[in-house]
Amino acid sequence: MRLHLLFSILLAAAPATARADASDDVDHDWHTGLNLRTDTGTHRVRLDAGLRLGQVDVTAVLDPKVFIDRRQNDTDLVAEYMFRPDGWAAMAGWRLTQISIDRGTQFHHMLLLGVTGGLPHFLEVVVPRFGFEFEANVLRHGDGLEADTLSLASERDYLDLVSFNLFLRFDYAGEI
Amino acid sequence: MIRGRRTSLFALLLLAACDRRPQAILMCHNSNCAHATDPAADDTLASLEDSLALTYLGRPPIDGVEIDTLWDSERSLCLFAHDFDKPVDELAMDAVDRVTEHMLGAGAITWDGVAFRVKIESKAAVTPGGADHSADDLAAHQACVLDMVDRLLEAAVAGDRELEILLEGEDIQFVRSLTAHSRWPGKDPGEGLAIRLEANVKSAGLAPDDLVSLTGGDKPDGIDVLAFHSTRFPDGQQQAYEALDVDLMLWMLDASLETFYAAEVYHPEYVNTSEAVLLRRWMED
Repeated sequence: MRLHLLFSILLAAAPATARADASDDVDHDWHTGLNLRTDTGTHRVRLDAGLRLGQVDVTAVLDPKVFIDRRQNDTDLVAEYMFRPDGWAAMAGWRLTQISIDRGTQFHHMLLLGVTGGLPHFLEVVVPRFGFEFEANVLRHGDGLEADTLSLASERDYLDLVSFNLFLRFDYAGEI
Repeated sequence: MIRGRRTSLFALLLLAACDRRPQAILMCHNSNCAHATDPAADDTLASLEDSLALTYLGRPPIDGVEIDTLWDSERSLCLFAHDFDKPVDELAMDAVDRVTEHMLGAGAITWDGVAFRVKIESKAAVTPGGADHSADDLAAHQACVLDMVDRLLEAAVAGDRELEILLEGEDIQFVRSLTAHSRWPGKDPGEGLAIRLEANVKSAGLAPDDLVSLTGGDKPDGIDVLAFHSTRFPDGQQQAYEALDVDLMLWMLDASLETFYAAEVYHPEYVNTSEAVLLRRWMED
């Protein structure tokens, strides 16, 4: 229900110039929308905003839940190389998660690698994409705790620090 | 007016209490929470000593430790080790001696001020090649574990400490058959003393649909504690564990974000981690 509400707000807030159909002849656009995930480590509903410049798409994913869950904040910066508009893309990015602990904050830095793919547009204005992401927690540090960089020396070193995740984006796109 | 203020204050306190993260009994995984991110420090006497000496805000951040036992059938040694890759031999009984010295000392030895917990995990392999216990190996390994239990119970009585011992085997039959041993002291060996049987959901000989038949604290060989790993099981399976009549133990290799989620959602009674200081600070936030 809350998800529907948030989605409606985003749609209502989008400018009237928004592009209903991301046709192949448009090279540059902006997009904003919902970013939904299946894994449990990152907040499952976030907002994203980005720019597509030719074949390169850069997106920031922000965490609105920080206002109701001050103890965790997940922020991504993701770049995609689109092999064709609205088609498959290779993805690389960085996620910074802040976890609140007694008298301080712990930071988790994650390297993201993956692929994304376009899905059929729906309601004529929503441009959905799905993604498959490999996440490696490469650095954990903060507030006097022992800093830990990812090691591949043994399973004990990395097994809990890597994961494969799925996500879905529902973006509203407009021409620049 | 005053009554209204009191009500508001009570509501605020209630909100603050509700906002608190779930609390759990914090165990020191592989006797190593002092060098949390260094697997080479797992299951070593030096790390065990350092871990027992840890403090946070003037108290031990932990409520107990895990001691791994490995039976070396070729040399008839009961080792304090996770596997046969450990470069030096250290005996399981030496690890117990470090713990009993700690229990006989003065001052607080747990964060929660209740019983000190010792988890004894018995590994399934008895050779570097991974051979299972023969009947003789099983008898010798179980005798070692029962010696450890006896010494811990004696120290608890001598030090006037409450003690809870959790027994886990990589093979579920290892601990279940202990309860039929002539030396088995029972689950309630004395006032302030308790022995609990633990299974890992990945224990050999334990299928997921066996869980219900294995549980039940009132059964002499019933499983009391079920350990699960936060990132290797889907939500639905964890919810099924929650529905069983057991206490849950969340264990991890590293404290990942999925671990925090599991602790928050499944409210495990125990958390077994090398990152005890981090987890304590996470719980206290």
